[in-house]
Amino acid sequence: MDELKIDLTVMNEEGLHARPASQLVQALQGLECQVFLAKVEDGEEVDAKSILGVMMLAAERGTRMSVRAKGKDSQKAVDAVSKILSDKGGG
Amino acid sequence: MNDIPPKELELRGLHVSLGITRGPAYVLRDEGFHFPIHSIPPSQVESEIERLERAFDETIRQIEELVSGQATAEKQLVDEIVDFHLMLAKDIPRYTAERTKKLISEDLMHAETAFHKTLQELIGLLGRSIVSRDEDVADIGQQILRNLTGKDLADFDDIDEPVILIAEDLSPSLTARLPRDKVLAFATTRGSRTSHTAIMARALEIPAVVGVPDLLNQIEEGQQVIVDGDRGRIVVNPTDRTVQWFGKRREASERRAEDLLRYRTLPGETTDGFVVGLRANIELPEEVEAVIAYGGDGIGLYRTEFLFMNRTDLPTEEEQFMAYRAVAESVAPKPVTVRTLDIGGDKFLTSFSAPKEMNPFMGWRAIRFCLEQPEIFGAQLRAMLRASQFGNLAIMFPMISEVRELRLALVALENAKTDLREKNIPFNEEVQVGAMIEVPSAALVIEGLAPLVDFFSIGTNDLIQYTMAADRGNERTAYLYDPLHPGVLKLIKNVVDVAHAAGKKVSVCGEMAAEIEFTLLLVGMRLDELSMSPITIPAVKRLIRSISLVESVPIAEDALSMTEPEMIRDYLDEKTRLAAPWTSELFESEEIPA
Repeated sequence: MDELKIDLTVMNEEGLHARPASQLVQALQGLECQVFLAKVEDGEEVDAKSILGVMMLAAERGTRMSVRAKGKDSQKAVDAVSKILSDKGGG
Repeated sequence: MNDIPPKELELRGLHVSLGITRGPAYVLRDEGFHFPIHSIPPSQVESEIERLERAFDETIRQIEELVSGQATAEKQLVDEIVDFHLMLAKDIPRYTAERTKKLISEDLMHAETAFHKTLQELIGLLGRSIVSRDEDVADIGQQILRNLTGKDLADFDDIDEPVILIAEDLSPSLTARLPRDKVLAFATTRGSRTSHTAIMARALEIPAVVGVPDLLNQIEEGQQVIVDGDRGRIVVNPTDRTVQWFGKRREASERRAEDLLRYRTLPGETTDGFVVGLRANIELPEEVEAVIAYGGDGIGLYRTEFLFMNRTDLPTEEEQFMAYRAVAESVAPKPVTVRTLDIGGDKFLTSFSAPKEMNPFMGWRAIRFCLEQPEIFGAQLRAMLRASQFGNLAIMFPMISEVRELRLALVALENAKTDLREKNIPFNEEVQVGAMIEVPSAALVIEGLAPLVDFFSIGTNDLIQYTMAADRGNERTAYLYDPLHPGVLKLIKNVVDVAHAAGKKVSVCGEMAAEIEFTLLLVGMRLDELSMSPITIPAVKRLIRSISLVESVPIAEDALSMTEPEMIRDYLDEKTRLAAPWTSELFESEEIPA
């Protein structure tokens, strides 16, 4: 089974707040894989497909994050996460 | 460790309704939800869990309906929020369901009590983060709670023994459904002397303390509480010693109230023979009993809003007629002044969906609303006119701002009279009509208003807030809301002087009339009548009976020459204590012995 793991930095203006968090959850919906997010500093993983999980991370701008995806669509998942986390714009 | 009794805790607030009492706390949280603490029988576990799951599903379904329904220009933004909420509605059970079910099945909690607890824990987890929007989580959580309880507000059907009601604030619709015989006292976080909670407490004659900061975080359901409405404090978990001490104080307080009752049958007459009419403000026909018990000279303000609230339809003319007639007959031959509908502001009509306003107190309310609703207004005026046949009933228009507006109101009254004459329905052709002076502009054009009416009544609560541009319920601006501000006093003085010159009587029906610290001033300013909560009549009467008009007039003149409220307050306190030494005991401080 494919497992991918990369580290990223949160670039969003206000951190991983409600809007990017819900975009993230939405982008991952329907993908055939499990996706976990954690802050590099503590390594405590949350389910990236859960809005409350992502919100509980409370990741501010500049936080180093690690993404781990496991399953058929793991490449797609990692791409989606890195696209959303590196989006600086306020929409 | 749980065997240590919880510590006694004294909290301070504003005393808004007299009396001392003790009982278990009944706590309303999150805008009126109540979470029962008694255990469910084990046989109920299964159905409680089913209820929880239904509420989860129902919430998701309700939000899904919103997704399909949007087709506006803001579609994208709205959809984004709705999508977010939908995710939350699906995700919240994931984090709370297991623990909630455990609380239900093992701790035998009610589903709403258990879910409220786990929701608070979840919000607590999110609260540490500055990027999370925990208000959205709370919002969806509340929606689940509403679905769980099947209602928007507590209906109090789970009160068994009399309780102390603890809440953020009590809305008019909430107080309207209170079981009267089961509530011993109120204590709230918000509110002021003139807020709805305070007015209701005095009407129900139960002790109340409002404006207690952080109250809901310091009290738990079922804990013993003493409410001291004389001093404005509450004690949570009182020790036996404290309970005894309050018991003695309560006796003294009741003795004082009994003393005052001796004044019931005596007139509100100064030592030099000047009679001030002491009337009552009421909201409900049931309060007439108290008016008579406390020796009121009739009713100076009968608020009619309650007839219109907590229902989905409008009261019929017939229904209103019966209510007004009942009040008029029960106080006859003493007079009753019925005020036409004063909705808007902090009151509302459930049967009529008024548009949301940015600034409701400056907006479409009272006479402004009625003049644009001729059917509602006409039905009320006809009902009042018909009731004028039975007893001594006068009609009063609220919130008049200008002469033209009063003329329009009088045209509506004439139209109602014409309708009745055409149908040969009898009414008192000589019915007296008055205007309420609550808007500063009206207080300054009494010359124009006086020829049109028979009397004026000054609604000081609103007059003060409109004069000072300060919301009486906002703790940040409450310091400006002062009946003794010279700006307010000059307006009152102008109303009295100009109205008297035109031969019209003037009363005060705001809360200012009920405070003995203002009585000397109001008598000295030559007010003809004071109208207040029934329970406050005896103390004001006792004070009036111990002062003279001859001494009051120069005191009022002196007060009016001062430029600052504090100077006026100190001056009046001193003069009041001098004229009536018994009043000083009402001001002295009393500490709970350690």
